[in-house]
Amino acid sequence: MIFGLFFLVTYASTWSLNRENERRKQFLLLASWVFYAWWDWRFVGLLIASALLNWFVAKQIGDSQNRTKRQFLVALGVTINLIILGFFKYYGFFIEQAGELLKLAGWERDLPLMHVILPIGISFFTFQGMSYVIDVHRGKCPKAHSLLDVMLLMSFFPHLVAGPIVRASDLLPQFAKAPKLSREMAAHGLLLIAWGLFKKTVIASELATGLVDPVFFDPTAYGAGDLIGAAYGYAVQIYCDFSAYSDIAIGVAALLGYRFPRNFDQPYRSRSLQEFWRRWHMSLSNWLRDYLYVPLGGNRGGLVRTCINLMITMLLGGLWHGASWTFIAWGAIHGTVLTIERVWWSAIRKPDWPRLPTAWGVFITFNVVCLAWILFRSDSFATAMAYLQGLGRLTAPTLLTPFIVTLIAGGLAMHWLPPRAIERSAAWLCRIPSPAAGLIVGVLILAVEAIRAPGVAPFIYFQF
Amino acid sequence: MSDDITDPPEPDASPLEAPLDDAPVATPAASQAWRDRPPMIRLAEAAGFAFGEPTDEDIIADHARRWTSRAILVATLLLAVLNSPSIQTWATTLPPTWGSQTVDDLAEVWTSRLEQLGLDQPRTVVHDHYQAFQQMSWRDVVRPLRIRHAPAGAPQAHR
Repeated sequence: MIFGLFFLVTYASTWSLNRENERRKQFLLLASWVFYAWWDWRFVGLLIASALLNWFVAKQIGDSQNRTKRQFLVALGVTINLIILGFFKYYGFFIEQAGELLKLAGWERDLPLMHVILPIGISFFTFQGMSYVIDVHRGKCPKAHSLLDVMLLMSFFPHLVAGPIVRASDLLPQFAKAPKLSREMAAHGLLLIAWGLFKKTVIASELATGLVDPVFFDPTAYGAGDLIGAAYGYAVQIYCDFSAYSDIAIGVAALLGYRFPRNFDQPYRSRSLQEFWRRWHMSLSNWLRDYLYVPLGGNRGGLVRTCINLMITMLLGGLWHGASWTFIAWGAIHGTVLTIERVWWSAIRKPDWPRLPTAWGVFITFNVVCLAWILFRSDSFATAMAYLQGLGRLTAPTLLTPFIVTLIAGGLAMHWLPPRAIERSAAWLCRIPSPAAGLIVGVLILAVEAIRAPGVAPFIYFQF
Repeated sequence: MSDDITDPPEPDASPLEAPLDDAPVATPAASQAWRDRPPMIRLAEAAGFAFGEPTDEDIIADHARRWTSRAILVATLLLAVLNSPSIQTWATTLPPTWGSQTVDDLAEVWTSRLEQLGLDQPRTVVHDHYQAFQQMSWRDVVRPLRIRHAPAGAPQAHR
């Protein structure tokens, strides 16, 4: 409700300032800081400091012709970003691990433990800042015209807390111009918001409270049916949760006149894990590809080197999600299966061998992804192991009601909707008169409001 | 995750991913020209009395903006009228201050008036049907099937 009011005020004010792009951007920046301060005003300073750092480093890189200096500056910029991320996100984890290592070596010490508050969205805005600095260094993106543009790039409220990770090369050119809204954009934005609300507040929320949370809290209390159902349920929950945030972010940005890249593309219909990563959290997988996998050498150093690069990328991708060994193990599973796929396609499979039927490919990929989700969702290895052991306990399911099964089936069925179904619906919606379009959108949101459970949990990716 | 793979083909380009090159550019010169105009003229222009010739693109963009604003307004009004219980629920979650108490009181009056007019019914009907579906067990699902397939003369199950 508060966000709805905030958006209405921002929408009206932003478009009333449309004739002056600079003031429009200033207002949007202010609104973004208010949005961020609503969670914790102290970290607005961190956001500003991070933007200042990236603006300054990129400006120096852009102004310099000296190759060595440019390389030093980009290394400096990336390092400081990583230090910021490392301190706020991984300090406790690394200190804990260092303490364990010292204990093993017989040098037990009281290390300076601090309870560091994780600033919401830090993984997203530091990655965005790093990509800006690197892109300026690589010449893929010119340095920003002003500090305001970089501030807004990193703070723009639709993508601030949970992505998508919008590159400077996508957003800065849009900031340079006064945005123009089209009916198609607006209709698409409105439908994405309604669709996102449905996915989050109905499917993800109900699955979390009715199935996933109780089962993952104590897996030993449930049999194989509930455990398998909860693994599938979590696959649907995390998709509906995270893609809903992306949809709402893209929709809100569209209504303000800006275009964000798509972040999900029906990921559970993938026939391989490689394809899965082209459909799931696309802004992160593209980021990891462009700024980690390719600089490591990509696939240019032979099969063994490619597999090592894939593994490193996925391990760090896992660590990006959180300071926990379960996330690293999640990345390891993905890295291992990607490596197996790569070896299979490059070294084992003969060209004349028949291809695996699509349905089998989808089934196997989905189950591998679900297996990895068990580690991702579990709060510890012990919980994950208890969960996997429970898969052999054959008892009648108690939580898989028709309602829950319908939610899981519905969440999976939306992966077989016609591609770009929302865009096609928007193309129709934008042709009808505005009162009728408003009525349709209002009725859709009313239906979601009528069926959603009271008290919806925050988005899962807020914690990353 | 691999650099030798191209993105999958997209059947239709999203309107949000259309090239930006077509969009008109607010050049620094144009912005400066706007600032240089007398305040009264700027005010009049801002109020909608445009001096000078707007481009076709400006007119289309203005129409699109009006279309969007009207659609949002209608959707907001519809929700304010038919979804008043949500407003009241939200008001009760606010921290207790003079302002939030005022919002709560207003929301309560608003909701009760709309209930008297029966405008809460669409939401209530959908909510009740949905709750009935939530409460269904597998026995409830199987029972109608059994009745449908029961042999002639067999006793009917009580519903």
